[in-house]
Amino acid sequence: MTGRPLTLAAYAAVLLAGVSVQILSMLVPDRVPSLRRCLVWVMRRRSTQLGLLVAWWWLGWHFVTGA
Amino acid sequence: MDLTRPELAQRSVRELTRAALTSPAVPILLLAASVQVVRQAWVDFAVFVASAAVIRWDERRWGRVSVPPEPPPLRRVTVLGLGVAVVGYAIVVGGLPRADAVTSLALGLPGLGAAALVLLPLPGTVPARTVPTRTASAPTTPAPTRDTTEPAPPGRGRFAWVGVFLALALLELSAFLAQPAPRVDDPNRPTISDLVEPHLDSAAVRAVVIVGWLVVGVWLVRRLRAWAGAADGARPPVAGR
Repeated sequence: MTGRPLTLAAYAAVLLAGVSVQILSMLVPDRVPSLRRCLVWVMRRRSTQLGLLVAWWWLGWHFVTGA
Repeated sequence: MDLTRPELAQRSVRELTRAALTSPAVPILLLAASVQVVRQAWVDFAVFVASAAVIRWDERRWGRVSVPPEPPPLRRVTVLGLGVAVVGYAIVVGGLPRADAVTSLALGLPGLGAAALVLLPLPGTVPARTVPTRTASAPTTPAPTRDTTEPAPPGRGRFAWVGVFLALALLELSAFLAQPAPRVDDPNRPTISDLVEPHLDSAAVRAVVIVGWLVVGVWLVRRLRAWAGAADGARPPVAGR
């Protein structure tokens, strides 16, 4: 498998990994934190809070406008 | 003890690395800005550089390191009002042509609103670091203690998330580098934008995406305002000032 199918498979694998970690966080919450819990912890610093805010806005703007 | 030039350089690199790891927002934004130079996307470049500057400025106002608390629950009428506003906005903006200045400006409004809500001080409070500790009218005001102790991390499993996001970033970067030109897609190595954007040609899909985007934004802003208003971080201005 090469080219486009390989790239698509790689994206799918990362997506699957993310979903798996989230499901694991529901099964063993004391060992694997959920994405939400991680995000909240990451936001302990002001700079990261604003960085996430910029990332949120830019992703929406970028995808919707196609810029 | 005097340090030699190589020792000084080594120490500077160590300190810079530590600063970048503990507070990575500005380095990441500057890295993203440099990618926009390659893409010749000047609006994106300006947004990232300006954001990095604002973050550097704002960081000095706050000394606290603490996990944002759960914001107070919203009243039913507020949820209803927000829901109507979000859906109405999504339908209107989702229906606009994509590559249009009006659409860009309309999508800029939630960002500006969110920035104002997060950056402007909450009524009756000022950022912890800017609170005067001793004034003529209140000479006995105790100095606010800035909590800079690191909150406990949420378990070693957090590294699984680091792995997921790092893999995604590397995939995106490799696809971007494989492009024949910065704005010309390589169909064999699509970036996330190449895969997602064709689906957003439909106004209905755009409206749904905008609703999701705004819901995440509301969650983020509420968390950040709860952090700014937390009792140990933002203190009411000293009486008499």
